[in-house]
Parts: sequence; C-alpha cells; structure tokens
Amino acid sequence: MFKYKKVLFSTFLLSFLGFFIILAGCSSNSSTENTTDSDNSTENISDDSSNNSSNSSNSSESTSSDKYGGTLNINIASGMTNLGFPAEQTSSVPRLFVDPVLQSLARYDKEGKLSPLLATSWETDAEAMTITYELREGVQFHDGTDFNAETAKWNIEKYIEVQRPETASIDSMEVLDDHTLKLNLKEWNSSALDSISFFVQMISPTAYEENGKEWAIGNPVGTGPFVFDNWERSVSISYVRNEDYWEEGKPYLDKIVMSQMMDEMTAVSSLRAGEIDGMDIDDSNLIKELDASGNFNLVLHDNGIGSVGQGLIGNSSDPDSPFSNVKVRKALGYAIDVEALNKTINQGYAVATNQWGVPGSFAYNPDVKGYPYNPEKAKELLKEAGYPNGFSTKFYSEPKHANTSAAIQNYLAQVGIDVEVVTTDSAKIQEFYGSTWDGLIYWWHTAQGDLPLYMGRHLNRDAVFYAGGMIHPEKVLNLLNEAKLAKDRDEKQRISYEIQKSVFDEYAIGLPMFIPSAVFAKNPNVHDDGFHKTNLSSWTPENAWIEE
Amino acid sequence: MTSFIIQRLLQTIVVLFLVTIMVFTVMHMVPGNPILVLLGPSATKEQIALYTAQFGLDKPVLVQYFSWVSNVLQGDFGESIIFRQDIGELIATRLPITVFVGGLAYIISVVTGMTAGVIAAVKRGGFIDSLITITANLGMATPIFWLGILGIYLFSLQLGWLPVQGFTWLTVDLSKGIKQLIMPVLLLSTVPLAMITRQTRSAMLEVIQQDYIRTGRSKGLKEKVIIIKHALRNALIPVITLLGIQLGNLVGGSVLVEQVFNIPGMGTLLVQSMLQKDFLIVQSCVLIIATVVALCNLAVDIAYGFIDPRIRYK
Repeated sequence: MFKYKKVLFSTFLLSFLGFFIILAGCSSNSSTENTTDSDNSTENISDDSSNNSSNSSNSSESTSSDKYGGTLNINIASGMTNLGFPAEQTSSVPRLFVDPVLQSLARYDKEGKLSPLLATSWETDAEAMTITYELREGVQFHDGTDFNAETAKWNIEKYIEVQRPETASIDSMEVLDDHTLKLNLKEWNSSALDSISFFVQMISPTAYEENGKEWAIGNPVGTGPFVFDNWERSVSISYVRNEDYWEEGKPYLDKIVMSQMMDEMTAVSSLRAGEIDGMDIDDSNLIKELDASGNFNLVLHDNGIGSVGQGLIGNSSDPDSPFSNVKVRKALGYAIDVEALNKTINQGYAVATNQWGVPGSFAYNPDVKGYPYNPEKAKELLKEAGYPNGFSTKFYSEPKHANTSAAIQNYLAQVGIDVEVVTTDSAKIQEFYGSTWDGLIYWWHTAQGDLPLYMGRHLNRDAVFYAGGMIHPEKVLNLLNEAKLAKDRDEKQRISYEIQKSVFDEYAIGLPMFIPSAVFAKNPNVHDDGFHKTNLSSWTPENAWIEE
Repeated sequence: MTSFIIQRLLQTIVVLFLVTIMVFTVMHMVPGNPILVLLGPSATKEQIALYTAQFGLDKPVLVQYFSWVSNVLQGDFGESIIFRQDIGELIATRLPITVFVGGLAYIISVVTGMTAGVIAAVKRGGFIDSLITITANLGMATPIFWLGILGIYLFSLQLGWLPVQGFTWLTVDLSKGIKQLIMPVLLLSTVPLAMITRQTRSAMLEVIQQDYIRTGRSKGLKEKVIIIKHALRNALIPVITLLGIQLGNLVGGSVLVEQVFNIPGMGTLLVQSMLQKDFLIVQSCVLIIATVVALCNLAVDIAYGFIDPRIRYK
C-alpha cells in the first residue's frame, strides 16, 4: 500500500513538473525560432514596402463597395488624457488617437510637405509677414455647425491663450470672408505655416461654449471622418462612421476602436490572437517575433517625419565639466561605434545618423563629417584637451536603456573615460531635461527637418529642454534665427545645412546616434490606414479599409 | 467592546493623518516635475509657469498640504495633473474593478485554501497531505507574471479558449466578462490560496493534538463535529489575521496581473501616476488604501472576539 502511494505520488509530481516544463518549452521554442530567423525580419520589412505598394494596387483594384464596413481595432501603447481640447494636448502622440475625429488645416504627405485638409490652399508673404488660408467650404462639425474662418480663428485663439509655441508668432487674425483667414505675424517665421497648419486641430466652438472645457476634453466634436462614440479612460476609445463626412464616399469603416494596452507583450499576444488588427511596437525582440511568424505586415517609419532621435549629450554649459571642452565632446563621438551599436542593440530597427534627422530628410546635410568610430583619434583629442589619462564621469540612464548604456560605458572605457552608469527613473531624468545635469545623459529630440522650430527647442537660450546643460554658441543662435526668417524653402534648407555643420562638426554640442524606426504591425487585410507613411503621429482613418 | 471600537477608530484617524503627512512629504521629495511630464519637450517657460499656477504648484508646500487635506475631508480629491480628470471620479471607476476581481480571487482563495488546509491537516502524512503541501509550495514559489504569460500562451494563443486581455463587467457582456476574468482571478488567487492553505494546515495540526480534541473523540463525538466545530474554530485566529491582511491587499490591486491582462484597476492607476509623478492621484490612492487596511485590521480584531469568546477587549 505504501509503495503504491509512493508510485502514485511520484507519478503526480512528475506529471506536474512535466506540464510546466512543456509549457515553458513551448514558449522558449517560439523565441528560439524567432531569433534564429533574424534574416527574415529585414526581408519582411522590405517586403512591406512592396506589400504597401501591392496594398495600393489592391485598393485601386478593389471596387469602392468592397471596401465598406468592418471595425478596425488598433492599439497605441500611450497615455491619452485629453481627447477633445487639442489646445491643451501636450505631445504629438495623442494626435494618433484623435485623427479619426479632429482635423487640422493641413497634414504632411509622404515627402514631408504640407498637403491640404481643412484648408484648400494658403499663401505666405514673408515681406508682409502674413499667412492667408483659403478654407474648405461645405464642412460641418459633428454637432451640425459650420466650419468657417470664424471657427478656425476661434480655435487658433485657444492655442494662443494657453501659450502654445506653435502659435507664438501670431500677432493678430483677420477674417477676410467666410472662408478666408489671414494671420498677421509679429515677425516672419518660416516655421509658422507648418506649426499652425499641422498642430492646430479644429473643434466646434459651439459645443465647447455650451458645455465647457472639462466636457470638451472627454467629448471631441470635430470635422473628421468618424464621430466620437465612447472613451473608457486608459482602456479604449471608439469612433463610429460620420455619415455626413465632407469627403464624398468616405470613410469606409463602420467603426474604429483604439485600445491603450501599455504592455507590449500583452498587445502582441492580442494581435496574434486576432483581438486587434494592428499596433505600434517598439521592442525589437517582439518585432522580430512577429516578423518571423510571417503573418503580419510590418510598416517601418523611416522618413524621420515626427520621429524622435536618440543621442548623447554632456553638460557643456558647466565650465568645470570636461564636456565644456569641444575636444572632449568630439572625442566622445570618435569613441563610440554608433553603426555597430545600431546593428547590435537596435537590431536594424533604427537609422544611424551623424546629425539632426535621417539621411535624405529636408535638413540633412551630406557634407557633415560627424565622428566615425576611431578610438585612437578619441584618445588624441582627450590628450590635447588635457585629459591624457581620461577622466571619470556619470551617465544617467533609465532602466529600459540598460543595454545601450552598458555598451556606451564599455566604448568610453576603452579611451580612458571611466563612466558610472546611474540608473534612475524617468521623473528624475525629466528633471534634468528641465534644468541641468552632471556628466552625460541621453539626448532625445524631435528629429524633424524644421531646425529653427525643433532644434530651437533645445538650443535657444530661453528653451526649456536640455537648454540649461548645453552651450549656446552665438553663431548657432544667429543661424537658427536666420533659418527662422528664411523667406523660402531653398533658403531655409541652405541655412539648415550650415546649422548642422556648425552644431555637430564645429561645436559637437551633442552626439546624434540614431533615429529609432517605429514599427506598425498589422494584419495583412488592413489597407490604406496610413500608419507610419507620413508623420509618425498621424494616419488616414478616412482611407482605411479591411479586406474581407 | 464599544469603547474598544471607538478607541481603535480614533487610533485609525491618527494613523491616517500620519499617512497624509508621510505620502505628501515623500511625493514632494521624489525628483521630477509633473508639469514637465505633462507638457513634454515642446514646453516653453511661459507654459510651465501657466500650468504650475493652474495646478497650485506655485504655492508654498504647507499651503498645498493643508489645501489638499481640507479638500479631501470635504470629499474632493482634486484634479489629476496628467489624466486631467476629477480624481474622485477616476478612483470611482478603477476601485470597483480592482475590488471585484480581487474579491473573486479572495473568495476562491479563502474557501479553497481553508478547505485544503483542513483536509491536509486531517490527512497528515498521507498522499493527499503531500499533494496539497507541494502544490501550495509551488503556488507560493512560482512567479505570477510567468504563470500569466504561460497562461496566455496556452489558453489564448494555442487553445484559443480565453481572451488575452481586457475587462468587461458581467452586466455588460456575461460570457465575455467571465472569459476575461478566469485567468486573472485564478492567478490573483494563487499566492493567497497557497498561504491560507499552509496557515490553516499548521494551525489545525496544532489544535488537533490538543487534549480537548482527544476528549471529544473519547466522548464519541463524530469526527466531522470535532474538526469543524471544535478544532477549526480554535485554529482560526492566525488564519483570520492572514485573511485580514489579504483583504487589505484587495484595494491596492495587483500591479502585475492588471498590467499583464490590461485591467484598468487601481494597481495600473498607481503605477502610471507614480511614473508620471501625478502626486495628487498617488496621495489619494495611498490614503484610500491605508483607510481600507486600517479598517480591515479593526474588523479582524473584532472578529477575534466572536471566534474565540475568551478574547475580550477592555
């Protein structure tokens, strides 16, 4: 009897352990498959461009009636706290959530140029310092009120009231007629047209005045192809088709549900289980897994429009810091093999760069030399700077960047810079951004080509982010101002090239490393959604359709 | 008993007052500026000044503290800096979800745990005892997030029986709601179940060996009566203490389980608020959790008296 019990007990124990081992085995199997299949990823991603072209051809082949109907479920792993009062939306990410319902005067096309949306055309006059918009006729807000020059003016005023930098250059506005709005600028600003046209999203003044700001935040009333349906905070936002949308025959979908799963692993499982149709994804290992499965289209955002660049920056404003010496800053560049880091850490899901923006973008200057990996040169420069034996410094980093930080620490150790990686939380890092820091931190920047606007947010003396810890050379400030005053695109590009040369080759204010290429993973039956095709924070919900 | 309850309630008020000071001080000492988090990298100095004043963060710290406490006493938790929503409303939507999911897990762990503990004690040294003890040890030792990921892999991705994530009230969609609840509830109940099982078993073992149990047996009482009426009641005191602690945990929610299964409860709210330094939410959540824990402790103390009439408070 005792023996029988013992055998029974052992059998139970073994089967119990076996169950867990099989489960664990199942999961590790999949990751092994995925990692060994690394080549596939590049293939699939480059396939995606062909997929996209085939999607386009699909869309042209499909008749309009084929496109109608269905619910598109997508996940954006980001917080969303203000749906309907865009003047107080404080980053560009929420735009993805509100694109179905709110629209701006213009949005970017694939080349990064503005294309008409609620404005049909615009005219800029640098001499007179004016921008005049011709607005689209026959457009109504979802509450049935008209969109016209008065409502556009009211919306821009809301942005001015909360001192949004995008509208800071506006001095006054004139309604010339029902559909013509003229903006008078305080001084000419070459970034004003882009900022105002893309960032100011229109809501119904009537709905806002009747219900107040708090109501508006939770109830977006715009002119978009979809009407707000429901917002379960931190869970999901849903929209239903706008039957009276101004673009004839659109939209195609019946409904859009945008969920907010913050855990990427959960979201990927949800995508695999068919609960969602697409998702934004950052984790390169998860991207590889999806890629290896061959069941999804991965859309890589590689045009740099709206992307966030990752670099390194030392506290050059402190005269006692080694980084106040330009030779040390240049040595930093030569000491780190950015290309190798990009391949190993980012696994190809990022574009390495030696300046602000990705190669081929508007302000990208091919003549910038940058700092190709050369540890011997780095040592020489350190010697010339008075640090023949290197020096010790701190490097503040968030836990999620542990691998990159450790690699950088290793590179710098090889030229004699002893780096102590201080892992801290994002709130502490944010505090550094707003003040100054000691040693090195990552330099996150909107790597878009409009340098006076985006680079100025860091390099201008009165800027907030990073400005306290970096030097502000007079030459760079003058160039940024010149670019701001540029009267046409060519002139702005020429000055932008000079800025890149000066900031990176001459002063080495920061070390640009790479522009992470965000990936949108989706089911192959989802078409023309526009995710990652233009600006990173915008898509085309009116064109999206699901193949049966 | 009444004077004991009043005395404990007064102590609870003092504890909560100290909690307000502690959480307020800690949150204001932690580095980071919520306005910078809110405004992002395009913020200008003017904007920062505008929003700082709007949320009253430009006032002296003491003024901020007393203003917060006086508002809380009037039932107003203030407006979240990051979520831009009334904190009372925010908690009112999150707390019921956490309590519901946690409550189900609690019931499962208490009922199953106590039953398993009693059975293991009664069958001490036998196969069933070993089975229960080993399972309980495994339950305590296995990381919950790992079990969660395996559960999703097996039941959602491979078998397709259960959804990967989400929460739906049963009144909205019964079938979907139940399916979404199964994995998180089972996972949430794993550790408490194991702890209760072990605690009940060891408490029962101690009681079963007492003289009065032997006396009961020699009197010819039925084994069922001895175990349930005489042994279990006396073994309950340490178990009740554990149940009280577990009950307090209900309100805080499980960050891991809520995160893995995308359940919009108090745990995820606390984490998001902490990361974004939305200290008004953190302060309010901690205060609510502290209140519930203090009341649970009080309830446990009162329960002692009912379970064991020899315990009387003066």
